[in-house]
Amino acid sequence: MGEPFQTGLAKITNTFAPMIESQLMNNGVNMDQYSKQCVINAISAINTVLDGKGITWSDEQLDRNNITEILLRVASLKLNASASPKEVFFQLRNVKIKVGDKDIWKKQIEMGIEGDGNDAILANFGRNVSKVYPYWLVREHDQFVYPKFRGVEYEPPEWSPTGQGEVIRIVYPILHTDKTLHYYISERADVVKNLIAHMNNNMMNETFGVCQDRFKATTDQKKQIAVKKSEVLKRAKELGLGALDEPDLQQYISPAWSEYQSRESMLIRKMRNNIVKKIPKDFGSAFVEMLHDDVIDPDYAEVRREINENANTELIDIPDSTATQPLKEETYTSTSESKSPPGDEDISGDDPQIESNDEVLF
Amino acid sequence: MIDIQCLGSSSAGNAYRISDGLTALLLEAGFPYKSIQRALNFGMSDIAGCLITHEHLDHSKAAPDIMRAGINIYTSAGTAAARGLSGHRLKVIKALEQFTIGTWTILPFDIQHDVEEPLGFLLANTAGDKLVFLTDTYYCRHRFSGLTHIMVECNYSRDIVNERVAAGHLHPAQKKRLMRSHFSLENVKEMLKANDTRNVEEIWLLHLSDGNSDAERFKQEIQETTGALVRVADR
Repeated sequence: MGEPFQTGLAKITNTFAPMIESQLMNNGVNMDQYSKQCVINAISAINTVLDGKGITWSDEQLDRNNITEILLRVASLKLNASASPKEVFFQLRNVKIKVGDKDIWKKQIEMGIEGDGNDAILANFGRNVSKVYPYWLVREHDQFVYPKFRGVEYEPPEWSPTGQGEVIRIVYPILHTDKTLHYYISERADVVKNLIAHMNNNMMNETFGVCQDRFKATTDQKKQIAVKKSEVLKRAKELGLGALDEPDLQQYISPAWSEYQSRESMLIRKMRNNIVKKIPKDFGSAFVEMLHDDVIDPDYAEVRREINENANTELIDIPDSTATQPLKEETYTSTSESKSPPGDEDISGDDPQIESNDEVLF
Repeated sequence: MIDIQCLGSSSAGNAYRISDGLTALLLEAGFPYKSIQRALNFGMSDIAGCLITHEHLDHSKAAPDIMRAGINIYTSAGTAAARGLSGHRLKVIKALEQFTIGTWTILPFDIQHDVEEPLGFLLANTAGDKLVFLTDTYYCRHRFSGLTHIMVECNYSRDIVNERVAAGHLHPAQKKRLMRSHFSLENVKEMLKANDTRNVEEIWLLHLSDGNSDAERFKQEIQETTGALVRVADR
């Protein structure tokens, strides 16, 4: 009797799912039924993305190792691509990969966590979190009374929704494992901090016409650019979220923030993230924590990979200090002028705006 | 017994004097020459040589003046070229080729920083002390045996950096560069765990970032990790 018919997608699922389960088991993580469902849903969602671009799973250009990593993250963090609203999304990107000395282009699936995905992570891994209740979208015409402490006694907030006006704050009622109910509040006005960080990031290559290229800027030009940037950011701080409507500032703000139709959902997402991301998580497994970090911070993940592969691998020692000869007398003549302009010094992790006098080199 | 004196340890400048009682060395020269003179109480004459890890001015600012003062500078060809150093006082050294200065045997080794040819140094003296000097690198490929003294950069902690980025106080691009050029508390701990630290008498934490570090916390965590005496170099 022949094997039962399988769709292409089922074959793919049967290939990846056992591999993911075995890798998680090897890292001390048990894959429950829901994790398995998350993997299947992710494969289906990735399949839709690939289909849309006319790429098959066996395409040589597709980086399949990356897909395995993504499925591991989905399984360990229990993110459901079929949930509504979505917890996780996938998109296809072209990335340059070094093979030997050559750069080659590969197609890679990229994963991103949606706002509801962060809620799911909080519900599953939040430290001392027993239950995350549906969050409150408090609008400007609603009646809202803030919670109050009287010593250790706690009076919960009061909310009478009207459904009118813009969302001005978000409240997450969260039940902790000690049975206490906490109300975490995020205000619309505080999103201006996220906006400033966003504008700062968008202005990374901005030279304000002072010079052509920020990498070729002289120290003086760099100072001029820094002054202009701080002027822009100061103005944005003064205007608060009103900066989103300011034509002069809009050039430094992405459309997802400034366009009317997407603005509200962006502000709500930021308000939610300002609560959810700050509540500590306990992943119970260093492996799962690492996978979480990989998703939240891909730059860090790349550095981690490099360090894991190379750090502390090669033992070196001074074999016999008495047998070593002094350095033979040879002089070296430099053939080039100094290639280290003062403005291109080491950042050392400090804010250059803070350390800007002549003696201080950042 | 090694005596370690910190003249300054931050992005504003780095310099350290080490001595085994017989030979004194200067590690880094990241301040104006006059400042180094003053910090050493004008005792430059007993400095047998100056080792420089890389070309950034907070590590090499006084190099030309030190050479003019008659003290040999030991650094890589890449660093010498980038700083435009030349002359008979310049001694070009290479990774994994050891040499001696007085009672010290020194093994330079490669480190990971965004400059031309940066080096770290393993130093052993005739009394049996062994010191590793490791700064401005985001990890170290090498492990060492029988260390008695460790001088290692501990620039930032990831959680502090993340908080500052989220608050808009640190640019994400700076964070990215930081991760690929400086040693984090987390990576220093891993490096120390990977090495045999049973004989270590002293660990010096160097080059703490002004904004992204917490000296007390770093000291405590490294002490918990190694059980050794930990000192934080004055900025």
